[in-house]
Amino acid sequence: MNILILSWKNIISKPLPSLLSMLLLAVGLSTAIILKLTEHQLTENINNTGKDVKLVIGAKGSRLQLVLSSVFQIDNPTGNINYGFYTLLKRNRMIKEMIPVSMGDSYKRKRIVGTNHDYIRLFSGKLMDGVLFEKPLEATIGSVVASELGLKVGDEFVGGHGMEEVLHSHDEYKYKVVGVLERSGSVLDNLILTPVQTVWIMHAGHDDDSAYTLGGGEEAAHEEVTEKEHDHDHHGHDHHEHAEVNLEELLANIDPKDREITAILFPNLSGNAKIGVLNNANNQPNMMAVDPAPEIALLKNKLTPFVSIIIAISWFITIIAMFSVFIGLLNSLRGRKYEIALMRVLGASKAKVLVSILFEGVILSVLGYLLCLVLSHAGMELIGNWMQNEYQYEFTGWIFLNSELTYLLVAIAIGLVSALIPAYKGYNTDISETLSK
Amino acid sequence: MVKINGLTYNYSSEVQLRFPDFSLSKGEQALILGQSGCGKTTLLHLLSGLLKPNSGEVDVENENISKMSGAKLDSFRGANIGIVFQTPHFIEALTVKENLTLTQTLAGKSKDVDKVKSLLADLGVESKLNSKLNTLSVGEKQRVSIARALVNSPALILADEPTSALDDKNCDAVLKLVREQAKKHNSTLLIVTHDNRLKDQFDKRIEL
Repeated sequence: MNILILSWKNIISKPLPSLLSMLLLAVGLSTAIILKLTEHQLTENINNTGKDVKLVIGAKGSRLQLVLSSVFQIDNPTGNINYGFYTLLKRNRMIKEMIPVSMGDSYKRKRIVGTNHDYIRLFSGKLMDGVLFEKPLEATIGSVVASELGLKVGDEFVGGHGMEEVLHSHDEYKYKVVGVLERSGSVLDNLILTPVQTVWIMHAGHDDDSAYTLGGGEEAAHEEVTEKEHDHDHHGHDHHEHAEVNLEELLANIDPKDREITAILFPNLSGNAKIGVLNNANNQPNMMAVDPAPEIALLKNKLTPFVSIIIAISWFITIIAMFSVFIGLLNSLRGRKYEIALMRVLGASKAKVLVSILFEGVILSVLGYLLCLVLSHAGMELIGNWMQNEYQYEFTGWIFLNSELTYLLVAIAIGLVSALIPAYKGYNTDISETLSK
Repeated sequence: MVKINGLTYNYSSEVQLRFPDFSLSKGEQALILGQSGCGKTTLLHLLSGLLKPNSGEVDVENENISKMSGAKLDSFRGANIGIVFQTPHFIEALTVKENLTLTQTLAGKSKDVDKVKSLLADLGVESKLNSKLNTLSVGEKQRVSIARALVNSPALILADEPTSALDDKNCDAVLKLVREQAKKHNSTLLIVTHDNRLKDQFDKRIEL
């Protein structure tokens, strides 16, 4: 029987106090690791998504909101801008690439984005099945949309108005899935992509203007009213005879002032071209141009205090765990004082007693660490599923960071430190005095 | 063999204990008698190296253990001296078998489960091999503690009041077992007691 086994037997002979120490340690370390995993994936997502967009033009409003909504597909859009501005900029030879995006509709909580093929190229999206959208009402969908909603090429679905909750369905026209993208780990995975013209067709005849993109609050109330009006109208409305209506014709009849998009993204824009576009957009009455990089940096700064608080909490729990291991060992040793004297009588040296108690601390902390790996990754997976619904990003618990290994060292250090005083007490046990009692 | 010579131990500057010189040859069995508080347990601790004398020396197997210290003394004690305590104590987290094999390995010997089994059989507690200690009766525990004192076939067995907590019947049985087993392992046996029931059974008696 070696000392390590003896330490182990001592731990399992008191299962509940041992479990409590392990659990506290595991919870403390898990909090820190979940934070690391989230931070890592968030940073990676932000960098992957944001790095290639050099400028965004959208409706006046919150600059951060514009970046979040049009680049990251998280927030609600600030409003709409006229497509005319896009066509105007198209003539500018200095601008090599520009991508219109049009948001506001969704299907089963997955965002429908009206755009062009450059948008897919921006995130290095590749087709897994079918083709890219070409005509209005055609949709190329992300891999998560396909798997979660069970959509495949050839399927049809009815989109809805609104991004979180569908305020009313555009049941006059059906989208048709023409392609499915490979999983790319970018925003594409969670999006339904279609030409911008689809959005115009969907909203043709509706009186609602740019306000339609805003969900919640007053806007929602307003929508309810419009919706009722629409339902009422529908009885004699020409929308009901649209089945045979030629889409080309319908498109041609849409008033240019009703042709709107949410934002324009500019990849590869720099130098004078960037300054030119920036000034041009900012001089328009209801428009603004925003450079995403400083906005993202600002957002990260805003998050720093919260991250610090969570780090502090995780350390707080970990320190409590350390005390728990310490008190647990001390308590267990108080009851085992005679046993320690006995081990010495049986030939164990002082050093052996010291090591056996240190082992107890280390075994507890290593087990706590293993438990923490299970807790943190399972926890991350759970949180990830929730976040994927809230934001358009995929967070997974099944990635492992090298930095997690450093937490093993942290755990071992905690085990050693908390066992230090109990071990020293065991080391200094006065055998003769203990045995005489 | 065991020999003590000019042994003194100071509890404090006022209280000094002085022990009579004696020696025991290999395999001899002797009794140390004395009333409570006369230093019986102190002598036993001096003999096993758990205490250091202020003067004089203790020789066990021709080694002066009063001069030994640290890990060397610990492993010498583990290998050469078996102790039976008045109240038997064990490592509670371990089974009977594990307590005895731990005693073997702590003394630097290899694990010998067959020896453990035959010892327990000699002492009539072989059925308790895989039992936890807290399931044993006091009498059974005392037998296991005798087995533990013998498991490394030590040169010297020290027993501290092994019978004082037992009734006459058990007293005789335990004493018989200890003496038999000491003889079987050719160990020198020294029993420290104030129990007068043992007095007439030993030829060699040392009064404190």
